[in-house]
Amino acid sequence: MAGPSQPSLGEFEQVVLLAILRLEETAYGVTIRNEIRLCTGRNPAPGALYNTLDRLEEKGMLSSRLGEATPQRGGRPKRLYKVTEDGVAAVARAQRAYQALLKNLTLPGVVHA
Amino acid sequence: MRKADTAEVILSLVTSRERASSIAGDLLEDAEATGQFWGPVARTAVGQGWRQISTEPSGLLRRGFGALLLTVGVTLIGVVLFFVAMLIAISIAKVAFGKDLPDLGQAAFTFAFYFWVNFTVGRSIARRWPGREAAVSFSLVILMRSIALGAELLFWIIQRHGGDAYADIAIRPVVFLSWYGDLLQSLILAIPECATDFLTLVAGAAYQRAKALRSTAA
Repeated sequence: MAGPSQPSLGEFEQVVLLAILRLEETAYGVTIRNEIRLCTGRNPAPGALYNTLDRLEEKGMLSSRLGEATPQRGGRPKRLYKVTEDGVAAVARAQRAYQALLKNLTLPGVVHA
Repeated sequence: MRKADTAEVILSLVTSRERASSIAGDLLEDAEATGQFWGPVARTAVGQGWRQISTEPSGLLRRGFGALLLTVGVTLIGVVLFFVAMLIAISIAKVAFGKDLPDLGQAAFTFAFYFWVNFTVGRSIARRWPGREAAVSFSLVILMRSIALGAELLFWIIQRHGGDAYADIAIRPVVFLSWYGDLLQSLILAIPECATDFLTLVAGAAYQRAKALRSTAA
């Protein structure tokens, strides 16, 4: 369970962190949006996504560095994101909380891990 | 790639320059698949700007006060420069000017001076608080309007109790507070005034950012 000193994660924050973890070294704005769209069917607004990325970086759950610039991007560099150890711990904690809540519940189409 | 440059300038008013550049690149890349560019740019700019306003209101208020002092300073400098220019013009032309400028000339001059003050303050905001220009401009506009509204409400209460209130605080031609006794009219006029103030401030900030981006690219 999250203690008082452990920052909690919102639902969309978890989605973003999980998408970045799935993408590994190739996570930047466009690929993160695409991954969320593919996995959840949601189409996050770019404004909401960049706000969430900034917030998670401020919380120390993400780190970022500038990547390559391509002509397709008008010569502008990608900002590549990586989940930090704190971020992994926070998302694992949140998932454990979900698992605990789901225990002994039967929901249609949901298979427990 | 001109549209990407413009988008980068717009986004750099609400976030750091490096982030604005990578976000503009992302949106450009996304636009190849979706065909949408300006809508996402506008929504991202509004989202980032609103985040700055909502997450740090006290810091923004402090910067708004700083920008208010800048506005007063720039206005005073403008008035002094205008009088010096007039004195030079009079001494060179050796003609006596009439009491007043013609009506149309006065309106054009008032607008030009007002625009110059806000544009200059916008540029200063861009130099002092890069990446926060839109939020600081918003804060300045709200602060100025709140001060005016507070005074107007006070005058309105005085009037309702049978008193007589009139105020006209200005460093001509920039008017800081005018009150002629009609609260409703004042509130209605506040909306276009705030919008014009914000847009002229942001225009100055955007000009400064575009200049900085051009000098880096060169």
